[in-house]
Amino acid sequence: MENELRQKAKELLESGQVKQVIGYEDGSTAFKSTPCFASSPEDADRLVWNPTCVNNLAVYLPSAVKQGKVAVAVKPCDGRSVVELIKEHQINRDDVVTMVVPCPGVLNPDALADIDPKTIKNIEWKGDGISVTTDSGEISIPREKAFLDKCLSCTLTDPAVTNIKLGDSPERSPLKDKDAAIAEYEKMSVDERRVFWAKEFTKCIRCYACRQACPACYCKECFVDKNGQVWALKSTDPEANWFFHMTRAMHLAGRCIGCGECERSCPMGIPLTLIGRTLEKDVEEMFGSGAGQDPDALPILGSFDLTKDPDPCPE
Amino acid sequence: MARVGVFVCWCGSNIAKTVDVVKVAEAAGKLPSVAYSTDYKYMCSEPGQNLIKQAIEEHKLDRIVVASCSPRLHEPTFRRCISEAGLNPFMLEMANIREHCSWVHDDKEVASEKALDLIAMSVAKAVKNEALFSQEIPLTKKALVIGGGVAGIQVALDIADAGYKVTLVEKTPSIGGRMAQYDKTFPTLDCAACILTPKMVDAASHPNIEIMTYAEVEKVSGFVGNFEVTIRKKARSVDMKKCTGCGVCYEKCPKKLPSEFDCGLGQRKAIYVPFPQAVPNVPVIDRENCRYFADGGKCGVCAKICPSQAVDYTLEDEMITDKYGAIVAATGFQPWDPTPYTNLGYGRYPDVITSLQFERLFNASGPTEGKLVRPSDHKPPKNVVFISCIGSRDDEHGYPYCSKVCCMYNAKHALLLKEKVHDAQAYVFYMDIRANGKGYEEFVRRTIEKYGAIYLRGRVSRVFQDGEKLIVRGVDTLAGKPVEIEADMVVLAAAMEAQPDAKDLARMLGISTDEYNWFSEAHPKLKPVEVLTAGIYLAGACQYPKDIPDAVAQASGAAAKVVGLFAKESLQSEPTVAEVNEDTCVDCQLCKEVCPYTAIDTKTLTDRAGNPIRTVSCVNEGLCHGCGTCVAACRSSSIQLRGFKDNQILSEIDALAFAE
Repeated sequence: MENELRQKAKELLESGQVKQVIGYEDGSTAFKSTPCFASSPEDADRLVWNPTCVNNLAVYLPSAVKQGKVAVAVKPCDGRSVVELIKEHQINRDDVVTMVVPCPGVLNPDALADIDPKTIKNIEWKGDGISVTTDSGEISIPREKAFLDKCLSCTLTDPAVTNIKLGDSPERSPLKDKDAAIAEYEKMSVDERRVFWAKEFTKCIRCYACRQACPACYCKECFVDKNGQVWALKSTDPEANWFFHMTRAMHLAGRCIGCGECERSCPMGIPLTLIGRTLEKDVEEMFGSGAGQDPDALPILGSFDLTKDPDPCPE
Repeated sequence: MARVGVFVCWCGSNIAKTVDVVKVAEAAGKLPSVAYSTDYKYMCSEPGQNLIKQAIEEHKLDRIVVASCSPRLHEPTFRRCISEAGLNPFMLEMANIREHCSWVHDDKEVASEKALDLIAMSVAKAVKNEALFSQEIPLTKKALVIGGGVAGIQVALDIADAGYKVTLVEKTPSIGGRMAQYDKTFPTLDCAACILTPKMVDAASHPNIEIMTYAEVEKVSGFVGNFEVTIRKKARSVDMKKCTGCGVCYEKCPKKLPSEFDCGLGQRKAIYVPFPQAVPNVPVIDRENCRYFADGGKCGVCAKICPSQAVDYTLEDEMITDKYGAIVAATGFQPWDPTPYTNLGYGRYPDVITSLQFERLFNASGPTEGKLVRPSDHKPPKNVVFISCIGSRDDEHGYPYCSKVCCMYNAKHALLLKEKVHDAQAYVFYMDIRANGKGYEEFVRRTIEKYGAIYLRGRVSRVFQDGEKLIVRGVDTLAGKPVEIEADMVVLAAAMEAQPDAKDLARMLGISTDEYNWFSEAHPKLKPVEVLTAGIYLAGACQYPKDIPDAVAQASGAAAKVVGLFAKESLQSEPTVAEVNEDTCVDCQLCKEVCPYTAIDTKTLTDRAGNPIRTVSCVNEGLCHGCGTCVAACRSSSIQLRGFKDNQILSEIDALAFAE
């Protein structure tokens, strides 16, 4: 698979079809890969595809396409971000070549909790789960422990914007219900939820990693970065934190594809995907459609049809 | 440093009774940035306004807060007042201490406190107010009227008489619309043709009116005063300049088809004029049914016979784009097809017909030349049953609304029946008789009392054929008895429904429709001919079922609006519209997608050499209504509403939240 990816990337770069290929390459340690920006056929040899390729690379597209056409390696989940970016006019469909990689699931860092990180030499997919090569031998980790939660409930097929499909989609049936986490959350009363979030948001240090990692947060100037007389304060007061996260959640309603990059990048461990998923569930129930499916669909807010308003405002 | 003047109005006792205006004015004088404050009995009166003007001069005020009634009432008054004193009219803020305070409270102390809070908010906002200026928008003084029925003709004539150019676009080959199909009109029984055809001719010969028949609006862009409209003139296959209207072509045409104008009861040819008084009197070839077009050019009879060589098979659809300042939609209605009433046998029994078919049957230019006969055996009918509310007031089969005209034309038909066939008997099944118009009730009474029509209050359950007769079973709810009538003919008063393409036109014009696809007016009572999009007006039944007097009245109303618009030299844009911050706009185009007025477009920013840099949103100030939907939708606050910017709103909130 990895060779196929490199081969394709090379072809695209050699023929000049794209200026750049965005993929993954080995990181500073064996349990992390890092984004790779290949602009020459030689660079393409650095590309890798293994369970540590977690990042949603769509986040780089709006700025990358400014230099010319880009090919990007996407997992089926990340492909939905590409759909959203096209829908929201941040990239032209013609400026991006999606290379959809077959994804059995990506690494949950908790799976390595019992292994001394310094001894890890390699991580690869094996059987249903992963195999970790260490100094002292090979350790197999089963699927339910090896992969991120979103992967265990994943039922996604190739995104609507697939250009190049690499390998065959792995056969997999979801192990978990994708709403298992929010089912627990929804059991809480409104007051309990308030207490829960008050505690979580107190942790926030306003590093904005969640925003930077998010492919849907592409504003040139975030509402929270505005100066002068503003709605949102920059301080880390619990109320100000709360205001930031709730406003961001509202800005993502109907647009969040649930890649989980916000939560993964949060240094304070705030369960941000819970907000995203809860909102998305509401959007799906109320509007009958989810984010990232159809590049030609109107955004939820823009699809309002006055004539179909079930509760029109009285004159 | 801002110098705000606060003027507290008593509004007679309306405010002063519940708010301690003197004390509030005094306290307002101590608010930050307030340089002067006073109170007066009627601030809107001339002495009140002079008081403001003098204070502006004496105290060098640069912002004014008037604490009085709703801005809806007197904002224009006070804007004019301060602009006469040399201030920008948008330096005014109004604190509504009447509707929002004195009228809804009793406790004077609390109400006075609230009044001061409201004033403090307005002062805080006024400090952030910026001078705003209207832009001059050019105005094309030419109107487009869509639909050439009686309403459209009336609009066109009224605008044209006022001295402005009008284009009247009609989809079918002739103007005249539904009214041209009617025989006589209630309640005066004037002949429809006698009163309509002169108007049609007037429109055709008016120097200010250009009629485009067999044409449809294809594309509409722009905004009030500056619409750009593309009209498709369908290929008529007859050269309008050469044709003399002699009619030889349709006499000789070998292809016969059911006539739409006669509701399928008569026939027309493949080359035809829809009716003898058609305007223009130039035939059109129905290419779908013409033998020449079907057989690859074999027939050609009409071209051969035409004495003026007017038939031209090579003509093609023509696209015409022009600029218009105003558009009037007058596209009318269509009669509802009563087929869903399977129990009444429409479509199954030839003598069960609709009211419009009945109308054609006794019209002198109709298929029977005015002889009222049954379609089945061409014998005059004796017993005729009229059934009301077919598809109206009926959620199950048709529409819940009342079609408004059926009660009256039922009475008309019952009366005319007796005049045509002297020994005939009319039966009318009705739910309620709705005859609310000038002379309407009297007309219905005449039909019943002088012409002996039998009115039965109840519904019909079933109609079935028995030999030559139609058996009508129903109920007379007033007598509490079932009724059975042996009828020769059954006439169904079919509902009026919106044109099948009403929704498409609405989308093109950027106007809204109700749940039945009737065009929505801007306000059901106070703006019945306007729509929410400026420069577009409604006339006739495209808005809701109407009879001829109502349609014509509304048409003249719409024309008055257009003429009022055209009487201006140019248009002034409302300055309180949305404004894009191009530095932070990321071109997600959500504002464009949520805008109900299609007022937002995108534009490409370029560097000094003209190279494109990036795309951002831009607001068309002619189209923007200042509703603020885009402002709420914009995630990066890159779009703001002038006069209601974030800093102004936040200042108001701060004034209230951090008041001592």
